[in-house]
Amino acid sequence: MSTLYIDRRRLLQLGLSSGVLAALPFGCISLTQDDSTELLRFVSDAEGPLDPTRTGVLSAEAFDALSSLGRYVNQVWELEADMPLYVDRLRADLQFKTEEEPSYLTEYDSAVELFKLVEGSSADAEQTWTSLLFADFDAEDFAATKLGRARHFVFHELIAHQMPMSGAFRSFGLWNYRGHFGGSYSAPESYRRGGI
Amino acid sequence: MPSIIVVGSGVAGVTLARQLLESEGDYQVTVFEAGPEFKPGDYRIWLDQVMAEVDIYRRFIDDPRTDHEHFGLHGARLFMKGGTTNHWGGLTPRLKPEDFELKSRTGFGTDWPIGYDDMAPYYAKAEVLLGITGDSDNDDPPRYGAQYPFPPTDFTLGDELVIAALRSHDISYGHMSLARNGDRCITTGTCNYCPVNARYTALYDLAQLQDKFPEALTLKTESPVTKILMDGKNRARGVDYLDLQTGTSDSMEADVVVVSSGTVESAKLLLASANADWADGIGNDSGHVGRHLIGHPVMFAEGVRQGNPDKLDTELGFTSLISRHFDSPEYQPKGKMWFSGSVSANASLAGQVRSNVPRAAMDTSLASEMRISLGGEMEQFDSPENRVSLGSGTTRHGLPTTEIEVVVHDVNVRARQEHVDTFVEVLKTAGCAEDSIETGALDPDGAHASCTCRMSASDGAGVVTPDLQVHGTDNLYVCSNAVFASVGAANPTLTVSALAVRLAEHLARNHR
Repeated sequence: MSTLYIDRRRLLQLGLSSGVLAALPFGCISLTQDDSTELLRFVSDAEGPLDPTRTGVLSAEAFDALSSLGRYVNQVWELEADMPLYVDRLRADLQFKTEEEPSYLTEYDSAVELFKLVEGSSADAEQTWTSLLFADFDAEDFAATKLGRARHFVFHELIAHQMPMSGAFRSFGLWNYRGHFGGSYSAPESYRRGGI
Repeated sequence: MPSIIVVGSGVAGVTLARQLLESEGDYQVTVFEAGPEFKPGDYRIWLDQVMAEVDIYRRFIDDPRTDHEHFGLHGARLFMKGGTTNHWGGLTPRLKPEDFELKSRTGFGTDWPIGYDDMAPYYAKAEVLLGITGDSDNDDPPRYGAQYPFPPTDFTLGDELVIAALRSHDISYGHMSLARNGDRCITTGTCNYCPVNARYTALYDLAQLQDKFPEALTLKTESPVTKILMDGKNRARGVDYLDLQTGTSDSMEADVVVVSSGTVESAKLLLASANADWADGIGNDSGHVGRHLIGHPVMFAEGVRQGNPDKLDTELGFTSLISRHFDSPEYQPKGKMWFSGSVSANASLAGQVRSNVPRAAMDTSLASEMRISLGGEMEQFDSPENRVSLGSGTTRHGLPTTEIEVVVHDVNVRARQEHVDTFVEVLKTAGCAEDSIETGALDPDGAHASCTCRMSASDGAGVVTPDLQVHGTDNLYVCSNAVFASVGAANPTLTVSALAVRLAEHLARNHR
């Protein structure tokens, strides 16, 4: 037996999922030198979203670009989610993220700029998103670059949103997932009864 | 119109405020909180918790500028409206009858000057106030017919695996009692910040009181109380406090002052209020203020069981199973313990997508194994060295820094290892390979800190009376875990809530 180091928050939430498998690259990544220069441009190492007081409405064009990430993930990972329904939910939730502080509007606009940039040198949406999500750069301070921030504040958050809100977790055989609005407490249809 | 100052907006202070405001006493209540405002049940805050997967409470955690601290305060407490209930687990077991007789039964610590039966009716009231789900038919400890407001959480299929192993070892189990409103909970698994205010927080409770009693209740956030003001030795006149937003200091007078700022800060405030009549701190002529500090040592074991065809996972985000088998008179001489268990899968779906794990590999991973976890908390016995005292600096919350010295008694250390060994045997029975089992233990920290202003029948043995009145004063009270004489194995929040209800009745009788 070995020693396990834990913290108390974990004890309070016994049994949280552990670890993530090592990355297994697949898909095609194609970026031009110009793309890479812009992707790796230093922006900021601020811990929160940039311009958090700049609130406003995300443009329809920007929303279409960001919501295409959901379609990409849904297709590549065979999530079988009801995408039109999910996109409506996403639209409503991104309104909260851009119209209330701390606003993500600037981070979203910046991420959409990258999407358009890479889209121009990609064969299709799948290649665009594969490049934006998984292209591996050995860049110093990557987290503070335009792409590093877009991954952290936009792409990764959108994927975290999609799993519970679209019901995608069900395609893996799971009955509930953190962030999913399940059944009522008195009629818990969202998880399995033990039968005891 | 009696005026009451309550120092601290955690569960003790807010429960007391609610009881006073809803009584016929026509009280004017002012609640001081060192930390800032926060919004309960806010969809945007909840959305950030789900999407950004960050600790939304990181700016409210304890100041790291702590002096000589051996207790793990950092991260355990929250300085904000509603206090530490904002991130608590909601576990609400009662203490058991033998917990009130620790000294008599074991020779360790001290007895409470009140017994379980004195507390039972207040436990029942607190269970209603906190909206607790639980098994009303479980009479260990005795409920005397009291009904939880909501039925218990069903056991999950994952629980069933753990339960089968417990049965093999003749270890008893039951439903966890949880401060989780059964009419509101939507099982979203984000209990750390509930979007529908189903899990009890003093934050939401206080917000409701502010709406209901806009004239009678005043909340002063970012206003740390720095000193209790006295008229002579016996009578509290009010408090000095800072306004952190303006950087100014001010004072307020009241008929009654109640210190409800947790075990560490309550003791520190009494110590910091030393004056000509109380040279070593208010209530400290006997030297007990800050002494006897204890918490809950914890232990943990986790193993891997091959195969998970039903994709069993935590699913709920909170635990529905508890065993109080070792929280019994038989185990009291070594340190009582309760524990829980759960099953989890490698179900970090978003994380795996972000890491470009192919779908087939995710499916294989989910079905290949499950992790079975057991974790518990045990009673800590008092040691002479245990104490909290004032540091030399000032925290960002405007409070004195903290010095803490706590040791875990050898008896507890040995018992903790025995409990860990039991966990390992249970996990092996549950199907975990022995070489997959990892174990761990932690010394107590600030999460369940207790006993620094313990109650006693005589003024030489403690700090407050059984009615929570500081010995030697007329109108100064402490209402927090600090007044516990011992803490047993049970999480302390329900007990301190029950004490707050009990104190409200005392104040209604004596300070109209």
